[in-house]
Amino acid sequence: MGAPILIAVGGSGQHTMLSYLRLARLCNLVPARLMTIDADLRQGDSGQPTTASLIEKQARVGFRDKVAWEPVRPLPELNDPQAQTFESLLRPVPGVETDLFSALFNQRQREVRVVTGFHGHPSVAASTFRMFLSDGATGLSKLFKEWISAGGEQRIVVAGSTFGGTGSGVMPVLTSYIKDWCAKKDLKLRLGGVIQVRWFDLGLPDQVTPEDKEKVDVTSHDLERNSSCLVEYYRRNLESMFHNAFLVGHYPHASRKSTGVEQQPEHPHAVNLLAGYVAYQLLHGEELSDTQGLLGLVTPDGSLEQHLHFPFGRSRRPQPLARHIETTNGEIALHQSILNVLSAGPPSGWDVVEPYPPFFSQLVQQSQGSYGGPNNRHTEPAATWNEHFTMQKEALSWLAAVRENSFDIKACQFPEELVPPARDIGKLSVHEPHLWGPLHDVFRTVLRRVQPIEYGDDPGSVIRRSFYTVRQELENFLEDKQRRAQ
Amino acid sequence: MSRDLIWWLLLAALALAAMGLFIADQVQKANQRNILLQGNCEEAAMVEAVRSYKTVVLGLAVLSTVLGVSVSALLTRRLQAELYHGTPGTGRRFTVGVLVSLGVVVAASAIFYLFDRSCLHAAVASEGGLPANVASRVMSLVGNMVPNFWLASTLEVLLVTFLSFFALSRILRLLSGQVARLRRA
Repeated sequence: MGAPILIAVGGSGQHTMLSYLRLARLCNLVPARLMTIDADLRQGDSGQPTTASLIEKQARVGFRDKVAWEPVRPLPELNDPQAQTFESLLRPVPGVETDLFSALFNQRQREVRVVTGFHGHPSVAASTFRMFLSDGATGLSKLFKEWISAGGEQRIVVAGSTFGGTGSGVMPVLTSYIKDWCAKKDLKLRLGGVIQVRWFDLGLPDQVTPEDKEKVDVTSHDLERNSSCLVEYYRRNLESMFHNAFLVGHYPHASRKSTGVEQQPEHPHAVNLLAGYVAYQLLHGEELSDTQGLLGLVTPDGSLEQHLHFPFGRSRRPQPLARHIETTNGEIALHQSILNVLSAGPPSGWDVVEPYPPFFSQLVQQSQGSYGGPNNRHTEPAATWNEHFTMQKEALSWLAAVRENSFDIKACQFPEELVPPARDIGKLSVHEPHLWGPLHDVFRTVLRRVQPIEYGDDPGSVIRRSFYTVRQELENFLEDKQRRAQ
Repeated sequence: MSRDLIWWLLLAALALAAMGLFIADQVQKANQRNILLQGNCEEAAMVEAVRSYKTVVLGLAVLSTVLGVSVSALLTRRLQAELYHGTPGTGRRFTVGVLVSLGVVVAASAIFYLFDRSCLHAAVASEGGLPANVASRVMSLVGNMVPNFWLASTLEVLLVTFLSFFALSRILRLLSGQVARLRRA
């Protein structure tokens, strides 16, 4: 079976992908190959990071191994650099062609600045993406030439929404194209869909100037129109698009502030978390492997941490998300203490026994580094360790933000003992109680089993693999402890 | 409770038990000597009592280092400074181990002195006992320079305890390093 592939289309697709990646961090999972399709892949200015930049960061820092990630701009070759609107891209010949173009697309659609996205116009997105495919679809060459493999079943999940512009317009075209391509090559494909239906009302930011008001590109009315039309379209055509799919949403709608045309920041929310989980199940799960058609509409509730299950420990038996969150808490305590030891420096010569487990000398030796604090950015292995550690803390902070942002729909109300408030995340005293034993005992037991000397000679890989082996060994330790307690 | 913690606690308990048994045995022997002498403490008996006492105290000094080293190793296991504060170990755990050894040997020597019914009390008494320069020279390397029994004994116990602790700690450090390397291999 080829490595599974997750394709995120548009803003909601990227939210699903980010959520999937954060869940992969919280639950120590190996993520699928990733592809994002969006016209607007800007990294954002100095302010809030965009979803595109957050996905890029997740892929760059990596997991136990580097993550394959490919960003694709679904635009045809722009011969004219000034061509920024849909109309200038299509360049209809004056006469009948222009008349036809005007009949099919209204003025607002014709003037969409496609270089920054499709701004809630699925018809513009679908037409542009069709042009992109006709143009050779060079951006998708990685997908078709390298990723999709002939051996066994190839799982691909496409995530997007029915209410935006890019997802709504690109998804139907893309899925048909992939299905046709695989059929022609006689490849066994299982194409899944995670489709967000409209679940929020779009409001304006609290303090908004008249100029900013004009910048807001998509209204609740646009979302409603797109969603209604596309859900109906999916109802009729789903089988030609996907093998199996879930709709993800919530009613009554949550409220969300519009961030305007210039920003695409992350919106941590229970619906996105659930979409990430559904993507995980379709990509890696066995329960849904033989299912067909539209599998249902899923919606988050108040205690998702008990209902979502991921494989855990040595046995890889599914355990509720709560167990994984608890382990991530313990993991944060362990990583903090490892960083502290690295910053404390080489072992003291005065001690009557070797004070550190062999893990430290091996890690320093194999990473060709030295002891040093996380604040010294150039000291390895502490600097890279700290980078991975920050990602784990971010994943927990994301859960805290999900709780906060999902309060209005009473979903994902994680207890504070499980998900501490964002300001407390990273404090050793907050995470230590989740270790099920004194820190120094768990520290020695877990690190005894982590042997950086076995992870090759490339310093980056040694540090990365050591980091994730600590997590794996912590899971094994907690699983054994629980089994003994029972 | 982890396995190495159990081993260190066991070693500390063994050291304590050995010291207790050693003291009890020596007290019994001293009392038997006293019965034979029928309370008649002549100079030779007093010198013998002092020699016996110093032998026991120096033996206790060596035994107490096992206890001190165990305490030091237990503190090292905890890595309090490194794990929680990111500060290096500055010899505090070593010092605590030495102080524990010294404290234990002082306490054990005092207990032995209190239970000893031989001529020891008479020998170190200011009146009718051995002359200070004689008592301090019995089984002593520093007695010539320090003509006071208690002062000379204290200095010797300090020296023996420290040297013994240092030697044992170096051996253990070497062994634990070797064990770690062997495990790695």
